[in-house]
Amino acid sequence: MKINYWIYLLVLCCVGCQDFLEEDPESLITTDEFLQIEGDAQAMVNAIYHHINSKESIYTKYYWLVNDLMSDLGEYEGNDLDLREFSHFQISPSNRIVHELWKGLYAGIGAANYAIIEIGNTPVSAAEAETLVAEARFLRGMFYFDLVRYFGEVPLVVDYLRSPNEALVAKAPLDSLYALIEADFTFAFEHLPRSSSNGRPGGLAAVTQLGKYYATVGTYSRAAQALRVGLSGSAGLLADYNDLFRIANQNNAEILLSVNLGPNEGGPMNLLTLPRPLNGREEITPTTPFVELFSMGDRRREVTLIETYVDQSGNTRTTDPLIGKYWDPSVEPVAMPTANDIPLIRFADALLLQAEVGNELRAGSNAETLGAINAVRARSRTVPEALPDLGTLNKENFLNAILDERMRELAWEGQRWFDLVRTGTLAERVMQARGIAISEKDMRLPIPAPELELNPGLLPQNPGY
Amino acid sequence: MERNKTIIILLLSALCTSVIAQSDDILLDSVSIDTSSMSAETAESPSALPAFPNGTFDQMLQGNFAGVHAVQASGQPGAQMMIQIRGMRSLAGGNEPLYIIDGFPLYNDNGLAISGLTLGPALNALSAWHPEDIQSIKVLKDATAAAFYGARGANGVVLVETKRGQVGAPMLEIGVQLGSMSSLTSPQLLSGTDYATFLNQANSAGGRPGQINSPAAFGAGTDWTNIIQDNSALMHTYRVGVSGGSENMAFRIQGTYSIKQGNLQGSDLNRFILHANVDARATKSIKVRNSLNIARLDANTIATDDNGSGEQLGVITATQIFSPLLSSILTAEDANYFNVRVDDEGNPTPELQSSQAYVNPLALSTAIDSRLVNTRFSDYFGIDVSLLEGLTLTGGLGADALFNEESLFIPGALEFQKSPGGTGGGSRMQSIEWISDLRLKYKRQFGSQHNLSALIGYALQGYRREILGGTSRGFENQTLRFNDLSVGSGKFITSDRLENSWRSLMASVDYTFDDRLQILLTMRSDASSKNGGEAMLFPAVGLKWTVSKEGFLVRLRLSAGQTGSFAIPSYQQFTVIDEVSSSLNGVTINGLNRVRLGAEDLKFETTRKINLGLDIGLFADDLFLRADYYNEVTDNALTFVPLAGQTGYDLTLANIAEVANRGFEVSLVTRRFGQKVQWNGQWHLSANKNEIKNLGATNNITVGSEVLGRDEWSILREGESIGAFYGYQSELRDGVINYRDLDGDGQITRADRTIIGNAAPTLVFGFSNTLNYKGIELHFMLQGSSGSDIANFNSLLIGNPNGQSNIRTDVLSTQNPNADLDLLFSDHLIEDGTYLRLKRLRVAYQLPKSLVEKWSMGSIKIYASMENIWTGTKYSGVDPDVSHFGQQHLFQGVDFGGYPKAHQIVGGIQVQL
Repeated sequence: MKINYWIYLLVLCCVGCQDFLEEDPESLITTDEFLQIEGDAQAMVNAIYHHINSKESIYTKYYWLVNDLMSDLGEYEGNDLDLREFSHFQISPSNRIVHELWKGLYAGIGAANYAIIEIGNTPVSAAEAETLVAEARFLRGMFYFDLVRYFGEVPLVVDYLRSPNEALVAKAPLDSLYALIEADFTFAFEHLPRSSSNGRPGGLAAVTQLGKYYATVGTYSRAAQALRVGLSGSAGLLADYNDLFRIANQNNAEILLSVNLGPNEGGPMNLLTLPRPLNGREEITPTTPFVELFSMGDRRREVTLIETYVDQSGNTRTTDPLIGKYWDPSVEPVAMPTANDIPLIRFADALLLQAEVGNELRAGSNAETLGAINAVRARSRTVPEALPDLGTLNKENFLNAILDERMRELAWEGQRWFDLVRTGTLAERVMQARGIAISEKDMRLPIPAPELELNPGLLPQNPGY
Repeated sequence: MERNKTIIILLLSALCTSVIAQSDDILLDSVSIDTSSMSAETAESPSALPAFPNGTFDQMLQGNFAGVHAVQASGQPGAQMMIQIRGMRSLAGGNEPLYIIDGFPLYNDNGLAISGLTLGPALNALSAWHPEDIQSIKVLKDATAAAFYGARGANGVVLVETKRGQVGAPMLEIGVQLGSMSSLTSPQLLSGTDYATFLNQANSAGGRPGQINSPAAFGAGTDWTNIIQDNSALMHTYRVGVSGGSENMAFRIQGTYSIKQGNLQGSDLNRFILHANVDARATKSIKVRNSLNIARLDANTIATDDNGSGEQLGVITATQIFSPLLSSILTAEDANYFNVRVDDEGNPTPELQSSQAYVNPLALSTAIDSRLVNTRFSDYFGIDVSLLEGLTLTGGLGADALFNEESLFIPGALEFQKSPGGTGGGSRMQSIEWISDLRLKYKRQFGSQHNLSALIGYALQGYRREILGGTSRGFENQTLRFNDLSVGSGKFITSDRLENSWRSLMASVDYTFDDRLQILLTMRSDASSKNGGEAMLFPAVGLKWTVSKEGFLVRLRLSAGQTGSFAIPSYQQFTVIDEVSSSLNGVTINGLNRVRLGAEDLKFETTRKINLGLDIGLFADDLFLRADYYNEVTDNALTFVPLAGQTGYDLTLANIAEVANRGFEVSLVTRRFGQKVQWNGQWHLSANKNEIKNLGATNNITVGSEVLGRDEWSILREGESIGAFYGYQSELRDGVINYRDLDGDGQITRADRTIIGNAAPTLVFGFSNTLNYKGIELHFMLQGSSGSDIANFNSLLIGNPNGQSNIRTDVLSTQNPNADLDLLFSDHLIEDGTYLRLKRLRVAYQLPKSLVEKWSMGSIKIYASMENIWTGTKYSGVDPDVSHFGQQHLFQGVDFGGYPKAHQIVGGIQVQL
């Protein structure tokens, strides 16, 4: 009798405490509690920027650097094995930066896909939703554009992952990837406000990027058309090239999109490049042809290169040329994680691209394209005899002039490798500047080895690796 | 003066308690069933083995138990231990054992016992118990013993009983203990002159400018290691207690106050511990027992055990980086000297903002205020009700409440690459863990030969932890430190709340025939909130057969069963949406994204264990041999599995791995030697072989917590043991390091990495001896391990003549100045960690009874002991008993910037009145 009573108690206790073992994560937002309010839509779009504008993002850590190390601009001389591989065109599939580029871009795509799919499920108005989706699609297009330029055929992921056990998508053909990029940029152009504002891209950024995409795939007439739209609406060049790289002057009129950095999200640029007495590591040496390309009286030389500087004790020092483009001594006297932004799309880039596309279409310069390149040159002319206006040039010479101009104008902004691959001049220029013979394989990065292991659908590896 | 005082206090010293004779007259049965008789455990009583002076009781696990691999991870006061019983099982969850302290089950995660604001390694949460209050420690390893603890028993169980009152007249016990410490030898670095000469050579060989004019002028230079050491560090302990009891009531109340100054400046640990146990017979059939421990720990910590990232401050690392050419008269008060560096000509140059990650080590250890106060109440109340003849109902209620306060202030001048103004912070954490259990026990003898006992039980356990903290940066005026965080310019607030709960049902039957054959069956079912409450069964069976004749005994033991582990944080099953920040137009904006995907179908890690044991006792067990062979397989071990990059995520938690441990253990115990000499000797030897049998779809996962920017230095690979070091093979040619191109592609890439060592020891051993002769007691203990490797990351700095830091004297003679060895994680850093250490030596003298009684006292014992006396090892670092990452078992065997352990010399007196 007595025992029965106890057993009864026990059973009661077991039954009575069913929800005792239920987890209620009060300090976490779970999927059940999301998408209920309007602000969640904006928050999902904001989250995409983490993959661009944060100190962990590949755009901050690598984009500006590795794209320009694989070129005629400079050499990496530090101890990082992965960066050395980039600098010497000996990239192996096990290279960690290659893997991080892959993962970082797909993480951005995942965040964008989540926003694109779920914004409609939040209580925002249809018009607002459309703008936000357009912003997310612009960013997704940009991630894919970079992915395709890096790796060629990659998996086309347009949904976000719901379960870790979901099956993996195999490589998609280039055509379908291109279709998505074109559609995303086009949609963004049609639905975003025209101008970029406060670091967020506008329709002009989208159409300019669309132009660059067309130029990359060789659809030059469309490229010209898109760039013309982009250029016509933009504010134009800043008067002083140096103003592009001042921390107090971020997201200025010339910038269509940049990697926005700040005090909490600093970039490594100055730590890597500045002279040792300024706490830098002097790990990047510009090539001699690059240094010599700057004529006296070119404003860009003193902005891009450091040849003399004042150290912390107030002594003026000289050094072999180093990179100082992102150094704004008025705010950051010595090297530290810098708040200086890295331009991704800007007006001068679009102008030079217009010249390049025009050259392809007409096999030589014309008034419009000469106007474009000469505007860029004129802006940096500090003495009348420097950087004279270019006259009519044939296709080959004009291309060379454009590439030289892009070298001076856009160095260490993450454009160079793409530029040289796009124009088919990588091998020739790298041989000229650095004496390194490169091959077809160097027009692509290898698919990261760990990814190949996880997803056999990524086979075959890119040729040559 | 200080010396004299020390000697006087030493002479006056007295310490108590452990003298209380062990009596069998215990009022109550243990609340928990004693399954230990079946197990392969070796039971020790710390009253036979003296406790570590001013240490923690888990230090006793090192060298005193077969099958236990214990590493004292750090030398800071209240040092944390890393403890493995029969190897490692989990790749993502914890590998520490379950502690049952006076019936209260506790998984010791040091990280959960702090809020994590203060600098340096986590404080050992078990330091809330004073080792002198511990009566016995038993380690349960095999299936029948551990299966009784079901889903938390797989990593082994440490049963801890504290001292209780005995029947007898009340007795007052007083003890004082005093000791001093000095750090173990530190690496021999270059003197000022040699360093200046070396810099000159390195600079000219490397084509860099800068020649120091007169190296000879620097002489010995500044030995920063020596500067930050506190060679007059003292530890003192004062204990007062009363114990006694009558037939219906016994009690023991003990108060301890102890101060332990660190052997590095700026660190200490003060402990106040009240331990009170009461046993009472309330009525004829009801007995109650209460075990209470209240502790207040007050610690000042310093920034050791950093990861070399430059974002974390590191005192020990700074002693190696900070130039010996700078004068030691730099004071912590003078902020300009925090950021001083030697210019090319060898002159000190103050800097307004720190240009170096590592600044003046003296300032780091003394100008930073990093304080932790933990208050812990642990109580377990048990009640036994005798229902019928042989039938007992046992109930228990326990609570373990922890209140943590931490505060931190780092002066702005010490912060690297941050805006000026300093950082202050405060945090509060409180946690409560409670248990409620109910057991029905039946015990009966049938005839003279059949003994049967059975039990069914039920337990609920819950845990809640809340944390609130804030830091503030950029003070206009730094005098307020952490006391008014509202004045800073950048503020960050964190808070968190975490809960989990367990429900368990258990049953066991124990049958013994004629003291010869014993059969034990246990069954336990556990459910945890961490996977939504899905219950799992853990059965085990044990057989024991004993032949005993005229002082000779042979016993065979066999057990098999299943145990579990689930030492992962709560809420892993949920997909979590969290803030991710980015910079937009110069300001920080937050977004929301799914930062983690919920892990699906999480299960307990289950370990199948088989144990075969043989005991041989000779001369009425005066010589006792215990040998065990075990084989354990953990299915569905939790692992962080890499996800394909295209998913947008890095990792997910899943039960995919299979891990095996097998090995043997031998213990030899001697108890007597002649008539007058008592000799208690224990030899323990254990060998464990760990193997990852299966890793799911991938068969390689590179892991490694970051040290000096290297974070893929270990690998999980099928067929290999956990703890493998993964890197490049290298050789030094003419002082220049060359890596081997293993895949033969003509260049050194990540594909050339291979397994270059393993942190897990193949053999662990300990020899402990106590000799008694006419009141004189001599105790010494040797312990060590062999076959383990250590990754000595310190060599990247002080073994690397690249001119960026001081170097060991031996590096200069063997290597090329200016060779930069700071490249890859290679076998250049891997060293043999085999060691044998004379851990302690203790002499005690029990004054003759006749003399003591003349003074109307119960007993007086004086003793002196030394710790960490001698170490035999080939390891070039300070201490082969090291584990930089503490309880992160996956990342064991790393040595970098750790708080050095100390030689201790302690004396004391124990008096009973």
